[in-house]
Amino acid sequence: MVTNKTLKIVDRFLLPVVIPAVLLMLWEFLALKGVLRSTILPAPSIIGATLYDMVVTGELWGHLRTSLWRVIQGFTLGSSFGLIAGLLISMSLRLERSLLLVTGILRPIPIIAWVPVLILWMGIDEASKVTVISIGTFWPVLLNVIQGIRSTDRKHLEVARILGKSRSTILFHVVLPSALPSIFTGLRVGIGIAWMSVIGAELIAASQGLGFLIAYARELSQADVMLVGVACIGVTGLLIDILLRCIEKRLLRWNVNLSGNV
Amino acid sequence: MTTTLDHVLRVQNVTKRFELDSGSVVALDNISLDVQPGEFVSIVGASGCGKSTLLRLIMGLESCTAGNIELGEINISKPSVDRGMVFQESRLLPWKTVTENIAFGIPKSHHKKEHNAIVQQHVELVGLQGFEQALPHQLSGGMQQRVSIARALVGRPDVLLLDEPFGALDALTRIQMQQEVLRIWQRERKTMILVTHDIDEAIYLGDRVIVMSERPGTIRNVIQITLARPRDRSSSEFMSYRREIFQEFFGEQKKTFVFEI
Repeated sequence: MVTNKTLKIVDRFLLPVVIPAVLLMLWEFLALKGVLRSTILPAPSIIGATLYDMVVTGELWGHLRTSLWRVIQGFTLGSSFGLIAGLLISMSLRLERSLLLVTGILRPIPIIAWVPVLILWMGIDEASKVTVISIGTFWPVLLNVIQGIRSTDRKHLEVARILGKSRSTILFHVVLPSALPSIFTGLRVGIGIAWMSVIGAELIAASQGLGFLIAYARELSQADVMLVGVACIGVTGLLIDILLRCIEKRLLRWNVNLSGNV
Repeated sequence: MTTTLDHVLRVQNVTKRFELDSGSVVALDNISLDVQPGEFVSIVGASGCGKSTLLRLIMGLESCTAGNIELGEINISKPSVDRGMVFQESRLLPWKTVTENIAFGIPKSHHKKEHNAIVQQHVELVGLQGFEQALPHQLSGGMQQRVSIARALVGRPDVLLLDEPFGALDALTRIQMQQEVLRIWQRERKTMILVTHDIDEAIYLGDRVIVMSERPGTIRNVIQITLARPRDRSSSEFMSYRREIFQEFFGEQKKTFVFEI
C-alpha cells in the first residue's frame, strides 16, 4: 500500500532529522532576537558560513586529515595488540589470573591522564599521540575478544572434537567466527574511544588537528571556529560508526541477532 | 574406503559413575551389548536412565568408570572419525552455509579435489538440493537435522550414533525424518544406534530394541523386531511389540507417563 510505504520512508529518514531541525531553528531564532550572545554561541547561519570558508580554503580538511591519520595509526596498533593479547589470555586461565592485578590497575586510568606522561617519555610529536590512541583502543578490544572467545558454544566445540578437528581448525572455524560479533563490538567501542582520545591529546599539545583547532580558536575567542571543530568531530565520529556497522553487517550475515538498525 | 563389515561394536561390563558435590551417581551399571556391523539398534528408556551417557561413552566423549568399549579391535578412549554422532539439536555452525557445514565433517586426510563431489553427494543423500548456499537460520528444524546427519555421514564413519535426533521436531516431521533415516540406513548400510524415548520410533527403525531401566541405568530387556521394512505402524504385529515394550515400563513402577506415547 502507498500510504504504508510513505509512512515507512517518513519513519526511517524524516523522523531522525525533525528534532535537530527544530532545535536549529529555535537556536537561530534566539540568536536573531539577541537572547544568545554571538561571542558565546553564534547563530547556526554564522557557523555555517565559517564552515563553508574553512572547507573552501582547505583549512578544515587539513586538521581533519591529521586527526584521522593519527586515529588510523593508533587504532590499528591498539586493536591489533588487543586482539593478540585477548587471544592469548582467553586460552590460558593461568595467564589471565597472573595479569589480573596489572590489568585491574591500568584499565581504569583515563586516557587523558596518559598524555602528560607519554609526552615526557616520547616527546611532543606523533609517537605520544598515537600511543595514547592505541591505549584507548586496546582495552575495549581486549575485553570483548576475551568475552567473545570464552562464550563459544560448548556444543559446537564438542562437534569439532567428534569430527577430529585440529586446534587451528577449531580456532579459525569455530572459536573466532563465534567470537566475531563480540570482537566487532569491541572494535566499535574502541574506535569511538580512539576518536575521543585524539581530540584530547591534541587539546593538550599539538600544532595540527581538530583538537588543536578548537584549543587555538579558544585562545583567539573565535566561538564559531570552535563550534565548527566540535561539529566536525561529532559528524566524523558518526560516519566512522556507520562505516563499521556496514562492514559488520556484511561480515556477520549469519548473525540473526543483528537487526537492520543502522 | 575402509570396509565396515568386520567392525563389531562391543560394550563390555560398562559402568559410569558421575562424581557430584552431593555424592556420586551411578548413571550406568554393568552394561554389556554387542552391535553387529550394519545393524540398527534402538535404545529406549525414560529420561535420565543414562541412555545418552551410553552414546557419549561409545563416542568417546566421556570415559568409562569400569569396563571397556571396543570397535573392531580398537579400544575406544576418545572421539574418532570412525564414529559419527547426531544430537537432538542440529549443532550446525551458524556462520557456515549448508555445504560448508557438511564439508566441516570431512576428515583432513581426504583429497581436497574430491571435497565438492562428496559434499554434493551428501546434499543429495539427505534431499537438500537447492539449499546448498542457505544458512542454518534460514532452514526449518527438520532441514537443519538433515544437514546434521549429512555432516556426520560425510566422514564415512562405521557407526552412526543418534541421540534423540528427532526429539525437538513436530510429529509429522518426525515421521518423515524416520523414513529418511531408514532410507539412508538401507542405502549406506552403516551401523546405527538410536537413542530415543519414542517407542514407536524405536520399533519402526530398529532391528533390536533395547529397553533400559533407570537409576542406575541397566539393560532391562532386548527385543528382536522381526518385521519386514518398511514397517506399518498400525499393523497388529507392530502393536504387539508396542504392548510388550510398554509392559516393560509399567511392570517397573506405577510411573505411568514417564515416556512419550
